Amino acid sequence: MRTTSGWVCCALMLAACTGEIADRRSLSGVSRDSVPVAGASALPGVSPTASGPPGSCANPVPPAQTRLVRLTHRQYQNAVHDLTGLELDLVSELLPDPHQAGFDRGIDLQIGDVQARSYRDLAESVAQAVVADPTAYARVLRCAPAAGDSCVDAFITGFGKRVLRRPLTAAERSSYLALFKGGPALVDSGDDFQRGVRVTLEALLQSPKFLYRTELSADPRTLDSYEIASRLSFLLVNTTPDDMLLKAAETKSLTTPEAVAAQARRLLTGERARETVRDFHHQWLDLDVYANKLTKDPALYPSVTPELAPVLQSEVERFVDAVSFEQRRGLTSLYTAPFSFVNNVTAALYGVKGQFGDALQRVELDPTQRAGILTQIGFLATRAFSQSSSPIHRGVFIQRRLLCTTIPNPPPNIPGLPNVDGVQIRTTRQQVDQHTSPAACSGCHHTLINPVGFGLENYDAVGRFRSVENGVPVDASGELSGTASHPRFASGVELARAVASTGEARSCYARNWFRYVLGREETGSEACGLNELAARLADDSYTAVDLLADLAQTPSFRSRTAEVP
Amino acid sequence: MQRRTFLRGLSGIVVSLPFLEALAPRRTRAQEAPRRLAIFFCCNGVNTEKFWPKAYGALTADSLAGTGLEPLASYADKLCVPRGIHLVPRGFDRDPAGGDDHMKAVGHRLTAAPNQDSQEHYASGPSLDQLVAPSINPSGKGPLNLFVGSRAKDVLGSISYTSAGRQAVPFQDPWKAFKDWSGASTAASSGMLDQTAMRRRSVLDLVKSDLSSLQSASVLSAADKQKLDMHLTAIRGLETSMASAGVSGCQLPGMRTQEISKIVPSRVTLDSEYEKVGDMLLDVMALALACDQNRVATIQWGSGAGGPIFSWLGMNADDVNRKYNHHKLSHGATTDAATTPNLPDTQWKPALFSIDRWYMQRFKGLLDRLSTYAEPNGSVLDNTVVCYMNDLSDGSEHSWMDLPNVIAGGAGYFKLGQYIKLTRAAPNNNDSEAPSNMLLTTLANAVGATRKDGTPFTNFGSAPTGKPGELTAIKA
Repeated sequence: MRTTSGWVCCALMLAACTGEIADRRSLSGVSRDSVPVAGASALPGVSPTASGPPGSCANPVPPAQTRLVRLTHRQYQNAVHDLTGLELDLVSELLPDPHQAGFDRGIDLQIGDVQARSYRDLAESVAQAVVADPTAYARVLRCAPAAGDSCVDAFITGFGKRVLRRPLTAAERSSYLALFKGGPALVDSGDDFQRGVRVTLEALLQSPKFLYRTELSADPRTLDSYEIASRLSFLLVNTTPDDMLLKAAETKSLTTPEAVAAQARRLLTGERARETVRDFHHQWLDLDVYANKLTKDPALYPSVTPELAPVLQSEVERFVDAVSFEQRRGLTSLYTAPFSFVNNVTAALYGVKGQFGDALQRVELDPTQRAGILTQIGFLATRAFSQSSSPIHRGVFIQRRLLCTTIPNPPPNIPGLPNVDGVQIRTTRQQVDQHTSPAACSGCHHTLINPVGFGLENYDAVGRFRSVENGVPVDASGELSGTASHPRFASGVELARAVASTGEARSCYARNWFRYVLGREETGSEACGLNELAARLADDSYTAVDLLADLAQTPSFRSRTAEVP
Repeated sequence: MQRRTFLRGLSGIVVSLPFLEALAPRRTRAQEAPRRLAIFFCCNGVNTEKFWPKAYGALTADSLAGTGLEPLASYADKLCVPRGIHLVPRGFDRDPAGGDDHMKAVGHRLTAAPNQDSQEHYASGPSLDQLVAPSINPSGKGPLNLFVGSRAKDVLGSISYTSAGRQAVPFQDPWKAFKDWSGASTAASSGMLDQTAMRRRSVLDLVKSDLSSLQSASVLSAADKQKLDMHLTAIRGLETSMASAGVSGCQLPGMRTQEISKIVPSRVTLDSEYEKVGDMLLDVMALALACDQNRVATIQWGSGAGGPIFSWLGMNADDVNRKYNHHKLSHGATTDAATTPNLPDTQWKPALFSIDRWYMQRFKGLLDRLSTYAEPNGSVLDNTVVCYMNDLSDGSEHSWMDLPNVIAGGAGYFKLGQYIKLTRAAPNNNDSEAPSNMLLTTLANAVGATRKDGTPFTNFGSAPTGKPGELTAIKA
């Protein structure tokens, strides 16, 4: 019974694997002759009034969604920092959030018991810290307490607006004023003004109007200027709208594509943009799992242990930052640039000569051996076993995460890997090839998974380069099937270039950025609407920041479809 | 006046707790002590050849000797071991649901609801702990969820759901978990000052009024109103818990609290810390239950299709426990990809058995902790329904039938000291007679939980192949 259902299962999955290739959208129909300029008018179909029926690629319609989006922990921390000037580590005090659409920034995030307790405790700590720090106090007040009631009013109106990201209503002003006035009886230290500030801060920082980005404008499609200001600031750079953005919102001038583009560009030139790019790649490339995937045979690889994880994670982050912000290059460089950041341990693994300490240092790598993220130690070592490489794990990651190929899960009742006996099976490639030869397996493995993994067979269980394995020259040749262009390769470097050259890699990158920024999966029309953005990634001078700026121009970003009441 | 409950803590010192009349449970039936629910959740199945007691009927040291349950021998008369339960929705492709075999096992076990087709394959319904806790916690608060080890960022990484697709992330850091309910880090720990309480009340009043003004926005959907409702419930929970005089009497022995406070957050999920962090989380869990700070707690050991390398169980360098993680060993394999063994049986089956026994020793450790707290009618253990669950039975086959379950304590609801076959047909690999949702219904009733409308649970979850009713064969 078990076997029967197992085989039925395999056949279904086989169909799913080949079916998926046929269905996947190709970019062949998209024009690529426009120079990538992040101006609204250069992008067809990206204004809410685009031509084309609603729900088509030219005029994608966002799905019905919530009007209340809870701040992520990073957004909360950055908002508190920008509002008060205090550098506080609040993220580590908060229970991590569940993932949605592959990232921890989903629009479904909620506030339950645990979060409510944390927000209360943190609001109390922040309020106390603000009042105790003269610089923070002045920043929050922006007026002199000696002026009395006029400063109370200025504080509530001004700071309240900065916290809630829009002007307070008359009712809100009077509630917060009443609370402020009650301060002296409710707080045990400081002068009356300080007591009022403290209790008001506690309330503002726990208000749902602060903790959620609210989008309550009446029109189900159109966002008002304050809502756009919040989207721009939180979604692009994870923080609360600054004074300039609030001013722009106040004058209702954020409803044109040009104004949005200008603000987006301004926000993306700041330091916080680097944080956004770092965080996206950290999550997209799944760096968090490194520590528990670095258990190696100590006799073979004594220098690679879970303790190396932070170094390997940092290496990826610094590489991404250098490509995006120092070199100002894009996706192709991410996949192919032959440099990285090494320390004394990893320099030896890369075969780089020189003196290194514990700290990471930038080095050029051998361009015949290394190219971008696919040949970095962290990725190669964590997708490997304790003594040998794992083409299947590497292949699956690249297909699923980097090319967005849908690969079904393996059926039950698969026999174990045949042993490398040095006679009939001498290499990992032979071992995996034989293991995945049955008809139920070869559909996905021989076409999609194995070739990609075999392309990295020049890198052993810890990512060191090898040209032979067990005396046999490594065969890293293959074809990237499952892509429209199915390029061929004969080495890891060629594989990296092949991946970078595909429309699928660009489309997958754009879609993952979409999911990260907007906190949800894209609909069909939004996905094909991203094709034009994806095409721009073919030009290596089109950076992650350019992509973010252009995402801010899409109907998905600048408009919404509200859920029906 | 407050009635005091005297408990003896782990160190033997009498710990007195204020047991407030104001926080009496909603049920009108007079009780000396509250009933609690504790779920102890393991993944990847067990060595099924040796797990179960040797004979049906009365559990004895003899019937447990040499089995996976042997570590529980001293608790034989407090155990109820049901056999023959199968997962609903059913595994493989028997019932429509998202995700692979492991995902279904983890997602369906406490929810009896199919997994979604989304990227994370979350369950499409609330879990037992999240429905029971607001019902039996006097403040209406949610359960205490804990997790040991490295947590997957999808359905495999938590058994708890507040509602469809809304996974509750558990605490992995024992110090954070402890602070969350003990108030150890806030003013409350030094005794709640009246003024702090007053200030909190005023602040929360304003928060509630903001919530209420949002609620009344005519443009909000039903889903958004539910989102705000949940937030409001949490705020009300903060208010109710303020009525307590604080929990300063509810402490671990001083040295232990200090030890836990020194844990390095970035190391909490490492395999090398698994045993130590697991023990700390059990301390926090047992104390919370004993001090009535939460009547529902869950602890999940590792992610589905995951689990640590149990290097501390291998004596020699070539022991397979030192090389392969739990998931691999559950398949008798050196890789995650294989589902039938390529290691000799003589190597992987004993290794897997040693892991099962290690987990049973942790389970016994939880029972030990709960037993040290005396209550008027026995111990906290006697008033707690503690349930060991594994998401699979035979891990190498991904079998979702004949699931391991062990109930301990039982709160007077179960036949104790018994190993009971639930299926009439001969094989325990039964796919229809005892669906897992009936176990969930029984557990909910065992601790007196009711649905929001006050009626008892009669058919937990939304699985089409689930059945109404309780597992009456195991009821007292």
